Amino acid sequence: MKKQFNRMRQLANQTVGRAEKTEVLSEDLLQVEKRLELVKQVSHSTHKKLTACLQGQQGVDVDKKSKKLPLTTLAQCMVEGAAVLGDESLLGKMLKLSGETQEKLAQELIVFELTIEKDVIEPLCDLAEVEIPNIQKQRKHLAKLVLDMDSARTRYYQSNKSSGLSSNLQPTGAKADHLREEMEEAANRMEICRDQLSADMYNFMAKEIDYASYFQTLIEVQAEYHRKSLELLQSVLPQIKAHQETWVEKPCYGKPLEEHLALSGRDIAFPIEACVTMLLECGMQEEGLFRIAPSASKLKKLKASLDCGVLDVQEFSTDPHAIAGALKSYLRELPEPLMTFELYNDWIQASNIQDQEKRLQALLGACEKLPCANNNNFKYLIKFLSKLTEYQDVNKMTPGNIAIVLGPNLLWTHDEGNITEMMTTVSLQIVGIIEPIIQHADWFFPGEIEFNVTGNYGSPVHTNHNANYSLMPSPDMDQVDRRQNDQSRRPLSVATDNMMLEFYKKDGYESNQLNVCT
Amino acid sequence: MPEQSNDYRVVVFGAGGVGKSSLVLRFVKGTFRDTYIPTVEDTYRQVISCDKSVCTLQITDTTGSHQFPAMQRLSISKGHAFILVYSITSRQSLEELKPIYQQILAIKGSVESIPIMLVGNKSDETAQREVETKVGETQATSWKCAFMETSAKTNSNVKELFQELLALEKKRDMSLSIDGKRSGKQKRADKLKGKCSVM
Repeated sequence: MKKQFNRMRQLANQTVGRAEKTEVLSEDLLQVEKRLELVKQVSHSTHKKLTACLQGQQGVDVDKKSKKLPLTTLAQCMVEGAAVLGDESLLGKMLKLSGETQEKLAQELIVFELTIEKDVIEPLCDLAEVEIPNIQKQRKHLAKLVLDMDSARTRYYQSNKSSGLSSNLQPTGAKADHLREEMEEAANRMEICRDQLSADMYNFMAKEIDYASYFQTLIEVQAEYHRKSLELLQSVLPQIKAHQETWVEKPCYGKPLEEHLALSGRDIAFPIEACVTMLLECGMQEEGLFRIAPSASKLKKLKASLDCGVLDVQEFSTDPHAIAGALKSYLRELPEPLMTFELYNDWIQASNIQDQEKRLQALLGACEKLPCANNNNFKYLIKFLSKLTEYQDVNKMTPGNIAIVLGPNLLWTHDEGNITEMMTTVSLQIVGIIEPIIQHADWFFPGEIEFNVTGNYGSPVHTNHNANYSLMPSPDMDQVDRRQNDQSRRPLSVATDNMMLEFYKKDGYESNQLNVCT
Repeated sequence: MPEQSNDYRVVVFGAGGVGKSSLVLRFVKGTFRDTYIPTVEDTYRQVISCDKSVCTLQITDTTGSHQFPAMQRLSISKGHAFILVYSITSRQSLEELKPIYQQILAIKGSVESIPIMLVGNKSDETAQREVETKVGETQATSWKCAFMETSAKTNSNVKELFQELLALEKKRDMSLSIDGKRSGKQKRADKLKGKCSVM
């Protein structure tokens, strides 16, 4: 009680400035003291934010922690999804692989977070919540002891003064001795405490490098985690890509020919082979094949099923126009025409040659310049079309007719600028290219070919469809005669060619007037 | 050529093989050929009377076998009047006309003042009929255009088709005859008009 009272009095006196406070700590240590508080605050808030970064629940065991991780639930969901969709499907395979990867990533994350917790968060917490508060507690204790010491000293001097004033006698021995003892004891205690505190504070200062290393650890652990995750992802990526690439059932419509052939490991594009094989089966005698439009919905369905690589031969065998339409669409939708942009001028120039023999030679020259994949498919198609003309008495599709309806799907220019103006003239030129090639198919492409290359479509019966092929080594008179007949049978189209050209030429600069006229 | 700006353009649309060329040839040349040749695009001209003068009727026979959207748009934007042909022996060929009609509507904005004839050709092939006359009429009503069934083969309603189309044009007074010689024929045609209905 008395001790408390003494402290209060001393503190009051010091506060109002009547008594001086003894500073027992060195200037250095006073600096350290200020720093302690700052370090504590910073460590505290860093600890809090860092904890917030962790995804796993803190303080629970590893198993429970990993189960609650969003990544783990994602992984589970994916693996379950893969099971539902089946490992055989591409989507299933992808989900399974991704799911397993997510699971591994989750494991890495757990390891990472555990390490962070152990090596960074806990020491940081220790620093902010235990080490520094301990020092600060001691500092408070020291302050009290200093107060005790000061008050003991004051009382001692006061009793010395008062006894010296009242009488010049030595202070009453017992009282003075007691006070001095008290004073000395207080000073002693203060000193022990001060030394202890100083040692702790110096220790704290010396350990700054240790505290700083928590953050080095943080970065290192993070780097390790990301490195491992990256390794994991990179090791999976080739598998993912391989799955994508080996998946043969890819859309073929609108895809470059080369790409489709490479991916499917074919020589002849799937839609071409499938349609030709089916048409050989059921469409050769159909009037107006390739001319008459199929039902739009049937065509759409057939194209979509060809895109998936599946084909209901039974269903479409009754609808040859849909099959022909699907083939036409495939050719039309190729990013580059089967007869290529590059050779466009070659073809057109060849068709302009008046002399028949020379024209055929020029066309053959262009044919031989076709890239291998295009040449194969073009040959396949022309052989088929030539076969189709064998039935022209029934299907009415002469080489000329086929060239008219199919030609513009085989060759076009990418020069969009004057496409509308030139379309008709170009179409006619293309007819002039395709017609002789179909007529002289066996001269352009000698030898027989097997249409059912992969043997996947239609019934197996038609394998010797091309048995009755007649080989024509060079364009003979029969063919030439027939061509002339074709022309004589259609004088109107030929006669109107010039008229039509005139029509387009004229329209070129007449369009404004026409608008007024309407 | 003089009077080019005075040309009146008629564009014939329809699926492949419905008889567009046959109709046009029957009208222009008066002949019918039982040949089977797809059209790339042909244009025919005929002089007709127009606003007490003469002008050239220009008939564009389009291809039905492959649609080039750009080409079709060009034909539509240049055309004054349209003949949409289907074959009464093919329901599908009528279906094919729907996108073409939509295209005309889209390019012209409105079909109110544009002469359009919906034509069911091959009316002689009654045994193979797939599209009833009623179906064609109903379609024409919903398209606000005129309707007629024709046969290029038997020359039934062919001239009437073109007369009717010209009569639908309100901006000009057009008639197929340019002299008095054919007036008799035209009277006969007027009598036949009962067969076609204007919606």
